[in-house]
Amino acid sequence: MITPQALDPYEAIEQKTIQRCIPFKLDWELTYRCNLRCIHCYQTRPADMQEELAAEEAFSVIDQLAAMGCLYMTLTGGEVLLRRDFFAIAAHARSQGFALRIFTNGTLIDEECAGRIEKLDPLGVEISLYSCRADIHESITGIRGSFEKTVRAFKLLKALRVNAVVKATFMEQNQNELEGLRRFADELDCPFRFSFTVIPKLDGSDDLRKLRVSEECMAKLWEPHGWMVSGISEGGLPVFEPLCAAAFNSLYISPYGEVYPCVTLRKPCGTVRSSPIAQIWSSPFFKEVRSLALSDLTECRGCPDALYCDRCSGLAFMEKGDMRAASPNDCVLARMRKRSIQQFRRDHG
Amino acid sequence: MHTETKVPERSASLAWRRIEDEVIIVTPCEGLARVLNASGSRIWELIDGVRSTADIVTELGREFDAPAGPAEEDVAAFLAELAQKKLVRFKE
Repeated sequence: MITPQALDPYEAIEQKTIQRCIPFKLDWELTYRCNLRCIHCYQTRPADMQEELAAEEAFSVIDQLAAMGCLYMTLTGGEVLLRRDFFAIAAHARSQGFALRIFTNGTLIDEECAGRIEKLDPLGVEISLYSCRADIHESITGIRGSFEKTVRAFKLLKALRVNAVVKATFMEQNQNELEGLRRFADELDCPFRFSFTVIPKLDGSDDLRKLRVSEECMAKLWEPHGWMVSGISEGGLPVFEPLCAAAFNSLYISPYGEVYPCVTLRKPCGTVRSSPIAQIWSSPFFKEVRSLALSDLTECRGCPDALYCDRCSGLAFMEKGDMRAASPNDCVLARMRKRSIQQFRRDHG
Repeated sequence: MHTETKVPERSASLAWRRIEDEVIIVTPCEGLARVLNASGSRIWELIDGVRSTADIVTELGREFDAPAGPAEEDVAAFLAELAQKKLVRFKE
């Protein structure tokens, strides 16, 4: 009765949720409050602008989404562990059958906290670490002493066999730290993930762009192994439809209960305080996002780098206010991948 | 203890959801996802830590109008497979 599948079972069920528009995955920022001051943080809204969802409201969100078929829940912030009711909310989600991921800076994880996290049986705890050197890490987090606390979190969680993930964004400040972080992750037997994408600030200012590493530097750090694109259409665009899973099988909720298709597609659709989530899931902007087609992407059509592009409609929306536009960030990444792959082929025949 | 009197219960550490006619089960410690077909999914939902294997067979017989004999063997084998994968355990 365990179905043999040609696809990985997860892939098969994910495809089904995309085809049927079942909100399978939730990214939930429980708070905008944070104890660090990271230079690349996109969050510009005052943390006390509105009241965060109360625990009872959060429980209702969990119950509604469980009934709608949601399975994967990522709890993030801000710093989620600043919420005094974090463990009550997370435990309620677990009791409703959710698979949890927790994104944290790790600085508040002491022995007791690590034990409470272990009891939640999370799929993973992803912790941001920018360097193995305290001075470089803290030049990004803005808080002295944060490095030691974050490193302690990894060790405490690993001692309890919790799947702790080392996660880094590379910027000018830490562009030489990749190998050191990889070694750190290997020594602790933690998965290691990194990105070059610095998300624009929510207030629309683009002053975070100056933090991004140069295209040359990205090409040096990026490894082409495993990069795959399924094919390109006649118009020169990757053959992916839907263009992304946002609004098809995933959604985002803010600390104030605002519901959006994605963390980057923030156009008012409704809040859990005023409407059932099922109603917001069918609201006009969600439908508009679902209607996006390759033929809408006029700026991307015919792009010579399309085969190397992992295009994000949300980034385009944040950078240009138009989810049908090309994202300058993605254009840089696609150019970099193309150069890097072509060089790889020259070097390896 | 006879098979039919055993009471299965789901492992507390896993996550699961019904997606239409299938149940997907995620085991966080392994990072694995498994999918059950329609009849396996219904049995999974009937596992509540209270119903015995015989109770589950009776309930399925009522729902599917199936003869009790073969169903009991199938259900017992399925539950044993779930237990072997540590997705359920049998209460003492």
